[in-house]
Amino acid sequence: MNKRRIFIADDDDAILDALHLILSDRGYRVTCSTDGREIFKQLAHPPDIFLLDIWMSGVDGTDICLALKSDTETKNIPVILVSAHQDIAQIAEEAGADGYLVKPFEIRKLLELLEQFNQPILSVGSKK
Amino acid sequence: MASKHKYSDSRIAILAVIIEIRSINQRLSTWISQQWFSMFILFISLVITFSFTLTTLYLAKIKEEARFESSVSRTQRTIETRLDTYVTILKAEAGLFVASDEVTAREFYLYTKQLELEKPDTGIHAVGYISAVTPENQIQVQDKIRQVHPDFSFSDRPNNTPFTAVTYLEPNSLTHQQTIGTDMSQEPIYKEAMNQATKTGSPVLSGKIRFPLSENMHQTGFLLFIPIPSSQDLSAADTKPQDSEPLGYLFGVLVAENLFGEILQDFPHSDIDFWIYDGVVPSPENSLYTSNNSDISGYSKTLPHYSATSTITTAGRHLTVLYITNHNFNYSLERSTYPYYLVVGLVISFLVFALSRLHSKSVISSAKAHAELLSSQEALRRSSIQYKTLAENASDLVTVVDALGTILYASPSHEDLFGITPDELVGTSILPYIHPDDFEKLQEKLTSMAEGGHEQAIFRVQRQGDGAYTSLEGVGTGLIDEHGNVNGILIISRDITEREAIDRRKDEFISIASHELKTPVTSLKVYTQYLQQYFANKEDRVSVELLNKMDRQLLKLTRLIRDLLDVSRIESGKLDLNLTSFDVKTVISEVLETLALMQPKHQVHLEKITKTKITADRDRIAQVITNLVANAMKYSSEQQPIIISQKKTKNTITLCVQDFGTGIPRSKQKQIFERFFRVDGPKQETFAGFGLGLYIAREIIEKHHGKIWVKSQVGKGSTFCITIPLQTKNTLTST
Repeated sequence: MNKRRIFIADDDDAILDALHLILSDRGYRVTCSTDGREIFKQLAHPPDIFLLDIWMSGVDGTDICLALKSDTETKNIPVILVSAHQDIAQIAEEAGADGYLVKPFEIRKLLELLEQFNQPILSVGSKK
Repeated sequence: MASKHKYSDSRIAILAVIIEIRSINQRLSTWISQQWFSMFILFISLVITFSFTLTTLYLAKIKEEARFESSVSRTQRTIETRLDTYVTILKAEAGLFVASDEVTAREFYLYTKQLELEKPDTGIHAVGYISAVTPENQIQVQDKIRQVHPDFSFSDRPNNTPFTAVTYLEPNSLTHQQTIGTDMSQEPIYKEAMNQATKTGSPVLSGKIRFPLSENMHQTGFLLFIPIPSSQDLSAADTKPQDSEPLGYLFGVLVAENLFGEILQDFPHSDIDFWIYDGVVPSPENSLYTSNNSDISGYSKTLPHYSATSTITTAGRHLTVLYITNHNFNYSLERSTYPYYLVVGLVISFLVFALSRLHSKSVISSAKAHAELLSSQEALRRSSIQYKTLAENASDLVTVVDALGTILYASPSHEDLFGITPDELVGTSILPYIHPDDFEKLQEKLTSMAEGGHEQAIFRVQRQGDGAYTSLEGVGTGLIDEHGNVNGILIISRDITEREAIDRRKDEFISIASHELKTPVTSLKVYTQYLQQYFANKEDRVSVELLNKMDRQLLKLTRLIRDLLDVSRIESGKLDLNLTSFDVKTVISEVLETLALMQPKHQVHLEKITKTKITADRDRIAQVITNLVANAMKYSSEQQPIIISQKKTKNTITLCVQDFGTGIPRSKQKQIFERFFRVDGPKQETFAGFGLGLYIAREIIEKHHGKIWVKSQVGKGSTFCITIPLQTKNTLTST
């Protein structure tokens, strides 16, 4: 079974480290970056899911989400926006994100959300 | 110079006079305004009325008295004249005897006939001659009588004593014939008169007598005796009283009825009645004649009667005449009109009184109104000075414009912003200074305010110096005059550029703080939960439990951070709702799930909670429910259950969270929804907080156009309820 690839962008090393730990433990192949722009370098081999912090130095998670959703190659890849921002639900909707998480979140909720997006990806993958 | 001085002197004099007149006028007004003034007016007018009436009556009385006196004197003259006339007539007849000693019966008859005694209105009823009979002339007298009465004889009379005898009596009626020869001096009344006549030598009237006219009729009257002196006496002295006995007496029988009744014929409508009495005592027994057959007491008492008494002395006799006005008396016109004068006077008096009363009242009320007006004018003046001072010194822009935006007034603070003095601004339009995007909004607000509305808005205006736009927050209202017309629009505006910048910085801070605080908590949580998993896998229960506690503390920290940030948002009006449609029951379950992690021992029961779709801010409603349930847990013991119930109407949903804990005193039930308020209780340590939960809950619920309330009793527990619409409409704009 192929490990699912998840790309996480957050400007806080600690969060990246912790998420890397816990998601790797759950069988994800985790790619982390403190710079959102790294995503675009890796689009030749796009991940199965994006977990993007909204507020990062350099580039905004919302903008990355908008760019991904406007590209036919990447628009079907689920994007989960993460932020401490109170209005994240609205921001996520506007950016066309597939889900969102409010910091600080429960790992349980993250895992549930990721699980939610596993199914359609798997079915797509099985078609392939 | 001199003339100038003179001029100013006269001016001063005129001014002094004007001031004096004003002061008199003022004093007069003060008097008039006094209560007693109208009473005084009434008194004066009553005095005038009564004086006038009394004067009228007095004048009437004087006139009537004059009229009465005139009637009295006329009547008196007539009576006197009449008496004198008869005395003269009889004196003339007496002259017959004086001229000749021997007057025959025939001569007496002829002379007497001329007097026409038989006429009914003749006062003289009869005329006779009495001879003084002495022994010497007894035969002669007897012979004289026998000329008419041949059988007559003095045989029954004493021979040696003198006496008198009626010798002739005309008219020669049957009754009279019996009198012939009688001695009149036997009658005391006649004797007295005859003696007096003898003594004075002048005609003398006898006292009142009643004598027979016929057998059945008697009349009242008197006799007039005229002494006829003897020829020796006459030669001695004509006018001197005689000492010797006279030859005889001529006498006239005067009937009062005829004598005085004739007066009434002269004055058929005499306005007085009169009573003639013999002597000086007007008693009924002395009554000689009554002009009116009525009694004095029978007179009407409604009108005054004038009366007078006079004494007439004629032929040595005093007669008393009493005069009284009768119904013919012409009373003065004033007597009949004075009651009208009185009534009219009284009416006028009371009218004047009423008018002066009204006037004094109106003077008082107008004085009061004047004083009020003065004080209100003074208050207005003071207040306008205050307002003007306020406007002139305000750092805010105070502007008055008309409905089209023309500036009518601009406070000095305008100069700082626009670089133009207020005087230059007045008369110009405000529109050129307004950002074009705000034109439409401004027009709307001006129209509304011109109709008396009250408006508030933020506008961008162009500064004069660098041309940059500055935000002004203005409140405005139509200025309504006393007639209800809007005669201007008052706008007070404030430059909020700086405030906006601060707000922006604050928002940024909130944003950063929320990010910066939550980021480490997030990583902590992830680490904790990783470790929990790690130790669970290793079955290290102690470590797992410790990490659970750590996780709960992290949850608490998260909530505290969230509460603080929420308060900050509420304060800056940035608490916006993200409306979505969701099921309330699901949210409640999620909330309880999360809370169970923190307070796993509390028992929460759901009553009548059904799946209900509502449109609201899901996270915020969850936050409210969390706060209410967390509070219930905080203030009750773990053994006491918590009940969440639901009630639904057509348009609203009500959720109640009931606990059986410490309860809240009534005095504090209102305060608990205020910021940083906490109810002290034994359990306060179990769920520490800032005391912001209910404050935030209230704000959230009010944003949803709902309400939140509590019912509580100390020692029995509390029930917190919220009601929100099933469909919350987002009427709030986000910025």
